[in-house]
Amino acid sequence: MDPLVQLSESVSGSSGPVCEPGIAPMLETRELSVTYGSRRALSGVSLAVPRHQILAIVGPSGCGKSTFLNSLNRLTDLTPNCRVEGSIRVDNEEILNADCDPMTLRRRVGMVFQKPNPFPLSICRNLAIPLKEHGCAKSDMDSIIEEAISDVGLWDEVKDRLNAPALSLSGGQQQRLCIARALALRPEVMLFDEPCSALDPFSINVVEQLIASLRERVTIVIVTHNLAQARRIADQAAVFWQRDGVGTVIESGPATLVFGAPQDPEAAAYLSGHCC
Amino acid sequence: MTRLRSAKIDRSVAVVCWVSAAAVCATFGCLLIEIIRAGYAEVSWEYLTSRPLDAGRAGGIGTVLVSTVLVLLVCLAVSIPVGVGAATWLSEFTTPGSRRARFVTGCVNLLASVPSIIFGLFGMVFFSQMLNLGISILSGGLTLACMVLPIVIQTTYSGLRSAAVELRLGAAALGLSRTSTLWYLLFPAATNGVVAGLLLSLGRAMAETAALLFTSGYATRMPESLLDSGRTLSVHIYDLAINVSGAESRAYASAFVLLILLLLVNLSTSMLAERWLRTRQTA
Amino acid sequence: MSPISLRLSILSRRTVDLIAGRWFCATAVLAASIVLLILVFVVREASSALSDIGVVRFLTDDTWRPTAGAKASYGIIPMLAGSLFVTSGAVIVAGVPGVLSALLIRFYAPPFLATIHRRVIELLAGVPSVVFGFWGLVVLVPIINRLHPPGQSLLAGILILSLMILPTIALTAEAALRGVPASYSSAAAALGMGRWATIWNVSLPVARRGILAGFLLAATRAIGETMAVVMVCGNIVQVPDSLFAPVRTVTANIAMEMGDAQAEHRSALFLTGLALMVLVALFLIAAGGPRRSEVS
Repeated sequence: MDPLVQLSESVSGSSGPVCEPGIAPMLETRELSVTYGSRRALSGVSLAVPRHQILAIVGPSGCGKSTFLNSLNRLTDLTPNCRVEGSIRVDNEEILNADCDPMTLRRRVGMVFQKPNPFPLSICRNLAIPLKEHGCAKSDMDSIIEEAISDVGLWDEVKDRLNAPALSLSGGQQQRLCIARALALRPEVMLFDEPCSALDPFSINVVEQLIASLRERVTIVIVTHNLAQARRIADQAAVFWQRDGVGTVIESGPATLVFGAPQDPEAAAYLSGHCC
Repeated sequence: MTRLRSAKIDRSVAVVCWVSAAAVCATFGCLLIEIIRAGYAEVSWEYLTSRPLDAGRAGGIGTVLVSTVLVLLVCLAVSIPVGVGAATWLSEFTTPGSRRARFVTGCVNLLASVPSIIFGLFGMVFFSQMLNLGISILSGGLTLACMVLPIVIQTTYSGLRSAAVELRLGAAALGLSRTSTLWYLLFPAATNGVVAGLLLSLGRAMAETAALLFTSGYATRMPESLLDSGRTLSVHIYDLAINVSGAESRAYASAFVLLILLLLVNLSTSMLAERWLRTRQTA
Repeated sequence: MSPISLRLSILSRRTVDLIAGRWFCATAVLAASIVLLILVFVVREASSALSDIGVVRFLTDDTWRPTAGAKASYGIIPMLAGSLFVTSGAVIVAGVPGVLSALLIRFYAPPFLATIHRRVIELLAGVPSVVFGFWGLVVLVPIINRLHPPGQSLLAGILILSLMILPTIALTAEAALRGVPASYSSAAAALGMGRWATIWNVSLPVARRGILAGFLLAATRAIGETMAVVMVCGNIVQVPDSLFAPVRTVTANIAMEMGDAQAEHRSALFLTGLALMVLVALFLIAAGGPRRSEVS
């Protein structure tokens, strides 16, 4: 068995009884609220994602979708005065506890941003630095890097120039490199924050198919503005909305229900495109 | 009517601008030409390597150059680590705008406004007397380090800040520690800022005289350790011009050497700035 | 790679983060403490003069003769006057060509010449004060001497200092003009205003604050300047009665006397240093806060 997978299981196994896949959700939030200083950005978000499924989050701009995503790997820690309340459980382990190490958490919960953000270093170093940081042995490094780059379908394009600067790649290639960089750490959950909105149409297609195929290995939360894309790849869906200046969830559940028969009138209007 | 008048004023202002700029440049040109004309003739290899004799009326500036280099080395060896560290703390380890950050920034900005003669007084009391370093190259270098610290902090800080937010977020999202993020990503991005700070500090320190009069002193012999007194090139010029009669030509020569050295430092600074700008555009 | 090695590496990473944070914090504290140390030490050294001689004598004694034993006098008014005359004169003399240089760079010169002029001014800013002083001594002072002896004079100090602070004024004014949003001047152009009308009615008023701040920063530099004034001002303690009279500034006094000053005399010199810091602080407050270090 792969050492990193083994490791993550031993870490999660230590925190409580192992649940059967498909029954206990991989990722679960309860009454999650986020405030910046005195301004509440998000309130009362309760969502659950079963293992190996894709949760698509849609909704108009400024309704707290990115804030929600950032709280899932505690990237909110970096914002001064940002307070996260409620409960977030990753594989049954509460991550808002003080004894949860955010650096280890962020290895388990990978993230890909809207704008591709490879480090201004070589392609190879982009993957090697995080791996080294998380204690990967030198001897395993090359094979893990090759595997991760192959997983995102980039290997044939870059295998001859692993030492070229990552910024010399095209936008779509950069984004796939960022996905590979996160995948190399063997995450259990992957967060995508509008991963396609800065890409050209061809790359959008490639990255979208890549994300859909990743569901076999990781649990995915994706924020997207592209409703058609959400319909194509989501197993679960949630519609975020801004009520009285605070973001919240107005509709959530299996994607077929959310997109097929939304209960909330605003959500229905938004999903049918008759809004904003 | 008014348009015509306005156009007339515009033309006259243009003329006045050109004339005043030409006057400024001409004055500066006079200064440069005078120093170069009178200094160049005196400078030789012999002058650059031998020690001053007869209070500087004869001999060269060899030992003076050695003292200058030593003072500058002490200055940079202290100001660069401290300045880079303080800038890193301000940029990465504290919240910008917090009370602590504002206090440190305020103190550093105040430090940048302190007149150099005050640095001299402080260096004399604190380094020479209280820390018992005496009138020495070490005291002088440390005094200059205090003086150039704001420059190093400022340039390093803007270098660190020039690293994009996405870089930090990306690193944090991969679970990189602060130290690793600094080491692998932020320090490389800030290198230009640090080098700019180094060069600017070098120029400022090399030009300084007042802060050194009572800290590193006037000795002309070859310094044997950092605890020996040694005069820098700028102190040498001052001494020759004011205290030694009949050494004018020697003062010209020293001023010429100092100007050339500073010109080299300034040129490398602007070359660096240009290269920096170019790489930013291609990136 | 085993789970245990990973645990260990995370622990050590946290320790490294902690140690690095402490070190960076320590350097920041050190950097911040220097200016406080300077203040503490200057005040400490000046305290015996403050208590034994008293501020009143510093302000009322009519001259500066600290080594005259029982008849010693400690009047710093003539030197403060010298500093203020030299500084204000230099700001007045450098102000006009400084702002004109900025206008030239910003509006009147073709880009190529504007860059060259900027470079020249930046080079001028890099000339050490001791070289300015030396040049003033060997070139400027003899010229003034021919007009009106002795040559070493308030005028020589003003001219040399104005050359030294001109870059500060020109570069801050240029930056302030550059900071005027392009939409303002294009709006003015759209209203059919000519170049000068735009500069006079739009650019200069908008940039006024920045330009004035530049003047005050230049003044702090001038009043703190030591070497150039020591070399060209003549250093006679008196309230100057004409531009051609020699003067001694506060800074020059410290530079000349500190070398062999003892006891009361020494403490009195520190007190003049303190007075200088107070003046600089007043300029800074007037300029609206301490200056950023002179790096763009």
